[in-house]
Amino acid sequence: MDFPKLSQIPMIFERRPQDSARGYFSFFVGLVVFVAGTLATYVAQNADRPISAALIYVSAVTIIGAVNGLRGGLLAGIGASFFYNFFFSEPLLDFGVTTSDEYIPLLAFNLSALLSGALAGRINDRARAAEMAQQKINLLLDISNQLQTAVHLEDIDRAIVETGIFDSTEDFEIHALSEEKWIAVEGKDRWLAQAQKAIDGGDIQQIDNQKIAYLLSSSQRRVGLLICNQNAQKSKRLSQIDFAAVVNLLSMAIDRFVLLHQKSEAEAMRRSEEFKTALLSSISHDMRTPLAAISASASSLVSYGEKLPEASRKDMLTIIQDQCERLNRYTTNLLNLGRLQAGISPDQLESLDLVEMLGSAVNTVKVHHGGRDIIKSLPFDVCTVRANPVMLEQLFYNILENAIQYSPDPAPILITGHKQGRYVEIAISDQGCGIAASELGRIFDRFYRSAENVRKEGHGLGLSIASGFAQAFGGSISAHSPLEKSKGTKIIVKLPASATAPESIGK
Amino acid sequence: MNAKILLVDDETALIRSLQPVLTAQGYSVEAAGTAAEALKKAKDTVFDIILLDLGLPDADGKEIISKLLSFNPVSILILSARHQEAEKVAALDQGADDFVNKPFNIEELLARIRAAVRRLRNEAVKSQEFHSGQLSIDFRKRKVVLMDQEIKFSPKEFDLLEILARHAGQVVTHRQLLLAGWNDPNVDTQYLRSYMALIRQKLEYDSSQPEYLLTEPGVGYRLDIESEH
Repeated sequence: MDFPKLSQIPMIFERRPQDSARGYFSFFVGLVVFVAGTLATYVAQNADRPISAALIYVSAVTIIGAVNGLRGGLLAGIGASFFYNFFFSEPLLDFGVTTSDEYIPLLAFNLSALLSGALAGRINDRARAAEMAQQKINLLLDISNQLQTAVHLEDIDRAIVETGIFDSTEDFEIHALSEEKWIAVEGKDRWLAQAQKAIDGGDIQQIDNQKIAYLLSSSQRRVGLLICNQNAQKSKRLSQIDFAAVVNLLSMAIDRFVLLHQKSEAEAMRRSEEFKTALLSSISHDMRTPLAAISASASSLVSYGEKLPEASRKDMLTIIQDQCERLNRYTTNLLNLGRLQAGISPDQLESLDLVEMLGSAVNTVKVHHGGRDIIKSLPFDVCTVRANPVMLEQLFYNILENAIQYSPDPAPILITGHKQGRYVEIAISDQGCGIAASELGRIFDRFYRSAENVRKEGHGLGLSIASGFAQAFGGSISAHSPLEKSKGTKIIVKLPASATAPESIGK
Repeated sequence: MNAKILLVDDETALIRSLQPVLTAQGYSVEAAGTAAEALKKAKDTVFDIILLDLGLPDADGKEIISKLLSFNPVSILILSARHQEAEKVAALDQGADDFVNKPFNIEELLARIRAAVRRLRNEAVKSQEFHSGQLSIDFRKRKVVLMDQEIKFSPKEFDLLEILARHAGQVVTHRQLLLAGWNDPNVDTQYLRSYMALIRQKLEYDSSQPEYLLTEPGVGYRLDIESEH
């Protein structure tokens, strides 16, 4: 039989405060059993059945021990031996323990009380320990689940707060270490400098008499730090070993974050590389193509001008002029791309009249792509938006130019608009070839040109810049196609309409 | 004379600039804007020279070179951007004869066209001699005369000079030169550079500023002398 270990015995005697209700109940039961046992023993003794009397008393003490634990059992044992000795056994009303006959009941009562109490205590204790272990496992499982689903650092922080290991979110700090750089989780960064000095010493370092730092590492690699106020650590809920488990889980979560973070940085790098490649190939094609035509025309005019017919000479000059304009438009868009990359600050925006800017864009388009009908049908005369005038004109210019390039010549371009809540929507529709559903989502990508229309003069920047500008003004652009019978495209520009009067009116 | 040229480029502005000048030079010119159109025209008509842009909308220019060559013997000149060395090398390996970097000067293009026409005609004769101004080469006797003075060339130097002279005015790729000199295209181009330096010392007035034996970066070399034939 394995007895409780020495270190566990004090726990048997301990009365846990949370058990008080149960304690009173079992005390009452013990009292009833004791009184009933005493009465039964008295009856048996008077009926001249001394052996039955003693056995009844032993049974009662055993029951009390089992119900009330060691203390109750012992108390009952002592009480029983007193009563037995004093009232029931000869000589009556005398407590002299002189003969071995008088020792034996005393010993028997107390031994049975001790054994039953100890055993009951052990069972109780086991049950309580199992319950606590269950609670801890549930808590750890809960933490583990939350940490495993955490993708962002704030999720990790929240998971730790919600477990309630610490009194408040101010009692701990988590720092992730990604590529030699420390990232303070949720911006909590009061103790890192202090902890960093200590961290080379080992996995767990006392920083001062309040704070303790745990090194978070995964597969031999440092991934972060947990610094906490140890006084606020609710040690009742978690032992040191369980806390180590939490630190392990936290390490894994931070490690996963660090890996994801590095991956997303690598992804960002890759995208930036892709962008550079696209930019270079765009410059190579969209700069060199017009330059080739200009160079060929100009050198032909210089070397063979006299030998060429008048019409050819004029055509070559027109080519040079057109291609110069094309180059100018391209460089403008490249510069706009640069502006978008650099970011547009709010002080570059002003209150403008959308109708006026739209009119200006239409005029510019007509200069470059004369002849095409552009029909405006707007239900308002003035509509104020906050935007940059040059960029707003460019936005509409790019969409209109695109509409002209991708639709057959005499088909007019239609501009409609309506106000919807805080927003104003301008729709520019053409009767062109439309956009395939598979390509609709990509037409606002930089350098994207639809597979069928690669031949056209476009450089794949116009719509992307229009979209970038719209977003910078707090709006958006969407494309809808086909409009009817697999023909036509409608580009809708949505901008926040402001209440203030435009500054540019009257300028 | 009166060679037939097919101009393949999707850029109408370029075609509009080139067509009148080429016509004025006595060439008969047709134009195609796509690979499909080019293949159709090359099948129907025998051209002497095809000016081919590599960035066609419906196909990669490289891919149609072998097809264009399969219809009739023709000299293909690639129009491409300077930085696309790999593209140019691939196109030349496919059987193109030469290339012109975009943007180009009309004189440059006309010189390349003349070199191509000459090579087309020369090949029919299988010329045994090369004559150009002050440089004469006798391929049979392996004799080089520069400004009335015979210059000694080692056998390998001569092999390299011969292939350059036979393609006078046109680019000769590293691969072609390595095959001509070493019979192995995988030889380190470092050897080739050393031999080119030796040939330059014998041909050029100032070998650090070559006028005749030009380097085409990443592609090969060009003997920029027009032969008199």
